[in-house]
Amino acid sequence: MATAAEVRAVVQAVIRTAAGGPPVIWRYQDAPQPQLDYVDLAFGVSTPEGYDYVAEEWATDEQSASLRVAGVREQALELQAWSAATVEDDARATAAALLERVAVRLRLPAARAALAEAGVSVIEPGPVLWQPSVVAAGFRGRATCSVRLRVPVASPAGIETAERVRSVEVVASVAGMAATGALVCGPVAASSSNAFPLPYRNPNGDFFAEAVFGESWNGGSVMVSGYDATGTAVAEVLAAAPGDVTTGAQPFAVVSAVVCPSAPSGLTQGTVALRAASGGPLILLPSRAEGGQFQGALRQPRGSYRVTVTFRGAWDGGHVRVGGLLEDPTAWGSPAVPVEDFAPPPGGEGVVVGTFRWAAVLSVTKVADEANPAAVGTRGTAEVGVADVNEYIRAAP
Amino acid sequence: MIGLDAADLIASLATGCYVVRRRRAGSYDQAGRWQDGPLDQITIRAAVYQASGRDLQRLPEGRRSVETKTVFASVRLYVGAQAGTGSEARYAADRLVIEGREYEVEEVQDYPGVPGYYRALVQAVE
Repeated sequence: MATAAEVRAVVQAVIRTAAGGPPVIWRYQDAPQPQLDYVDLAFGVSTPEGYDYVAEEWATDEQSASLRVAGVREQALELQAWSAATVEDDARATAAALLERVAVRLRLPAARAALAEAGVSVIEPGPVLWQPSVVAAGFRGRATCSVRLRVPVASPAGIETAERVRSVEVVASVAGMAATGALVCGPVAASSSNAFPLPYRNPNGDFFAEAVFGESWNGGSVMVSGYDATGTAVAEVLAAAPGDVTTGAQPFAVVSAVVCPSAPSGLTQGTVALRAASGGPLILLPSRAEGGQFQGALRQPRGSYRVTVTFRGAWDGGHVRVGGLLEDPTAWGSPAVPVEDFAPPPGGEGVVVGTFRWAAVLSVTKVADEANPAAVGTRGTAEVGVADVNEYIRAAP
Repeated sequence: MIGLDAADLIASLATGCYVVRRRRAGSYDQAGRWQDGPLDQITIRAAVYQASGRDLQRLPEGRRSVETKTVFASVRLYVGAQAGTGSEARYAADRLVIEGREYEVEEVQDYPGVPGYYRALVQAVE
């Protein structure tokens, strides 16, 4: 798409050609006017046509997109011609004749083709108005004409960027919602045991925790608690290293708490930040540990996600129940583990998309429903996947 | 006839030497944009004073709140002119550097012959 500068250049070049000789300059420059005759031009009123849209340009790894807003405008091009002659005769054209010539030539294929190169089209040249002016002690020929153009407009690329969930692939689409190839578990047959087998492959993946200590840190070691990919509670102590980084060796699927077991009472000095290893996303922003506890909110390295359950082969194994940790870490540790039930579609075929946002799925089971009180079926399979393949999880200006 | 030498008078009342940035006229390029001409620099001896209220009244209304000074010089200062008209057509308005700040010539009163001096109003360039 042509830039605004390219559009201006093409429009000026076309008017210059159509004028057939006199200088064509941009209005409102703090500079002397040229010798008569000449044409000046300026863009006037700009009216949006339809709705602007957001255009995405994806990086080669398809994990981040550069966004720009683009659209179409009906753009007034204000033309003004000045001439020494104020009375038309064979030898000297007035400003009105000059603009009439420009308006006529804008209808010709050559002018339209040149404008089309930049995505510009002429809607309509307006009437030419003859408005001589008095300059100093004499008349000067002056004429004006407003031409309606249709021009493309676009913001600079990258005025905002967006990233999406890593490592997911679209394998099916039902009613506009995407099910993905990033499986949490399965497929499992309807006739299998009610507890789906471990491990659950959370799309966040395993990561090692890494503590980045400030120079003046005096809060001692940092203990990280959470769950591994099998849903087992795990913890690891990262030794204090003021001004340095300590990397752990325990794989985490999610981090549920960060404390300083040996912090001095009262205020500590310095800060510590926690991140996924090797410069990965931050889990805990740099903060102090008052009384051994950090005040900042935890975040999972790659955000949260919704799940889908894909039923195939006329599934008759009952509901599928997903349980685990929701995205809000303040609710973790509650005795009531959140669960979400997925009822199979009629006929036991299709994809059901959940509404909860999970930080980690820690259990998947079959549960009884009215059609199958024992939750033991004979037909079909079910698998749990990750939804929202096209949903942005983070946007930064 | 009374013999007056304005150059001597201005020299005796001068407040200092000042750099004048003389800008030769530019031209419009093919794209319709003004391109500045080359810049010459000369140094003149001049008497610079605060402009009076009467001086300010000679300026357009919108320009009266801009810092203005009166300059007496024996060297002609250019106020600039539209391209193709008058003897100053090859120049844009001169700019003087007064105490590190740039002022543009807005008006020149020309008293040629004897005594032969120029009285200019200059205004700060924002």
